[in-house]
Amino acid sequence: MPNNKIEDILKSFNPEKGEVPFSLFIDNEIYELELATVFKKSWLFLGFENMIKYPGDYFTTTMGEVPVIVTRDQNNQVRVFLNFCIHKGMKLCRATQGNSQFFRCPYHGWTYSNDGKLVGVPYYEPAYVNNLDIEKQGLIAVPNVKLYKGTIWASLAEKPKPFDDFLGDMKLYLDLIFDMFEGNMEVYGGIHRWLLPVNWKIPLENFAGDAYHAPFTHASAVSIGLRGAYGNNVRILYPGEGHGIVSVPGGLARKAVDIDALTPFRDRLSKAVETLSQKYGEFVKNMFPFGPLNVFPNFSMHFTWNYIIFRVWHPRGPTLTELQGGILVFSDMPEETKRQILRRALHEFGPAGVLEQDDAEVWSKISENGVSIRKGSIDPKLIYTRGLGMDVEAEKVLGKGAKGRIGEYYSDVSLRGFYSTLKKYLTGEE
Amino acid sequence: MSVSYDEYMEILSFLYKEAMLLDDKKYKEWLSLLTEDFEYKIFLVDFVPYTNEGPKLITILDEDRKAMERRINRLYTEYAWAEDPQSHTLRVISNVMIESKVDNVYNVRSYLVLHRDRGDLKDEVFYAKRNDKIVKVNEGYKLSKRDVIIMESILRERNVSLIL
Ligand code: FES
Ligand SMILES: [Fe+2]
Repeated sequence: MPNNKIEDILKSFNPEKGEVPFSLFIDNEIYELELATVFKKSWLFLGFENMIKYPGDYFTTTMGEVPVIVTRDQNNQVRVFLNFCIHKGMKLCRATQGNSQFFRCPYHGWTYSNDGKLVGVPYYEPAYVNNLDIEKQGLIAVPNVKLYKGTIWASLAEKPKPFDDFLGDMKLYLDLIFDMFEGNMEVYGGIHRWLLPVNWKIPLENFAGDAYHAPFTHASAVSIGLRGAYGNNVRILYPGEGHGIVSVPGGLARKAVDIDALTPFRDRLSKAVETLSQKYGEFVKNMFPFGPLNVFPNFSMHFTWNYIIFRVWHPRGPTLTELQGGILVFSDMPEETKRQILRRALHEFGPAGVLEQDDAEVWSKISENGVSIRKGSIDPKLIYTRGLGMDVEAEKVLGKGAKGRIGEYYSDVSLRGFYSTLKKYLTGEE
Repeated sequence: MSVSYDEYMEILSFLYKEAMLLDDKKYKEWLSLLTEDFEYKIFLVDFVPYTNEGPKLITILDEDRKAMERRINRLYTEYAWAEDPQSHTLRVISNVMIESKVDNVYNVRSYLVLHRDRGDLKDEVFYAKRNDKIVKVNEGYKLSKRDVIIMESILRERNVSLIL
């Protein structure tokens, strides 16, 4: 009775009270429901426009588990297609990135131009002449694509909610980052891909709001002088719509282990604080740069004095996630600064980073343990009650112009928001 | 370039010894094998169309000596969870080739197969190509540069908390 099982799980899923059943991170029924709702209906982050700068540039990725090709066609239009040959279903494009005006299927050679049109069918005559209307055939386009300040988003839904409504007040905070680049946003050093043995929602919690783990999971960073002491005053911002931001007052990493070559980057940030606070309000000075964040459902960034990294948590199974990660730099910065930013980011984050390697150990053991616990039909409710009922209007704490609710001292406020939003999708309200 | 049999054997023993120190977790001794200007990089290989320049590399680590020392010091804190409880590792070093020798600097290629056990049922084996720069000094040999290419386009191990 899988449906009853889902019902039972959803009954014990009360995020507004801080109750999240453990099965949400382990069970296949929930996982498949997430793919069919969250990943089917929500807007999803696909990449940065800088990754497909020139006509013909493309990269492949997934929306949930659905494989897609993201390309800039010869008329400079960004297009998103299912990575699927309409003839007999072959994966059309197997590379992660490249440049090509045409996509040729290796199976029977059907060829598509990068605006999606079917332009070549081998041995068309005479057998297809009356049986295949080539003009009407083409790649299956993802119905909704949105370009937003250098980023590319799409939704598999026929009629998703308007992009601005989906972002809600998160837009303000993303604008701070994207406006800062003034069109000079560059993905530097490539995208690394990493298969994590854990449910997609667990790692993103660390970006969306679980800063509470840092002083303990990453205690070694203090011992080796990479960080000053972790403060007790970390704030968690909930802008609504399932998004989340960790705001680290003063920017924890600023004082620790300085690297001279990063100065041009830090100068940009300092300058941006001034201009952006004039444009958006005084609050910018109290939170810039603001630390980790997550855009619902699975796009995370970490914005610090040393680097800006991004992560997309692609679901690959109830306890499997493919992380695609990279760093963002200002394209007009000196090459040496870019490399130093990359070095510093990878020293801390990524599979070999001294911070994230410990996260990965925790994540893998949650899954291993979780699968065993669930085999005993045990479904403990996990505890998300930190700071319950204590959050206030962000403007009161951060100052004029801030939006959303804020909780202090490592509150779970944004995680309760993430799971409330997730629940809406799972129950069909979204 | 001419490299004698003895030199080749010395380089080989150096690589074996270095691997042994890491497997035996004698990290501080291992550090003493590095030059002051040591550089260490790890790459993954992207899955892209064939070109003459070889595979497209994605950097996942780019360290200098100072960063390396921090990395090693971390293992002696009480909070290096990725390696505590300790992994059991076994490194197989093979296909060792001295590609060039200029003065006292050897460019050495090798393959690494590294098995790791972390007390669970996840099989973890790293397969990597390495390009080393090894310098002959008075007391023997030192490692001054190491590029490691993990031959995976999607990293399948839970992390790279080990030195490769
Ligand atoms: S499946 Fe692609 S051409 Fe036949
Ligand atoms: Fe973390």
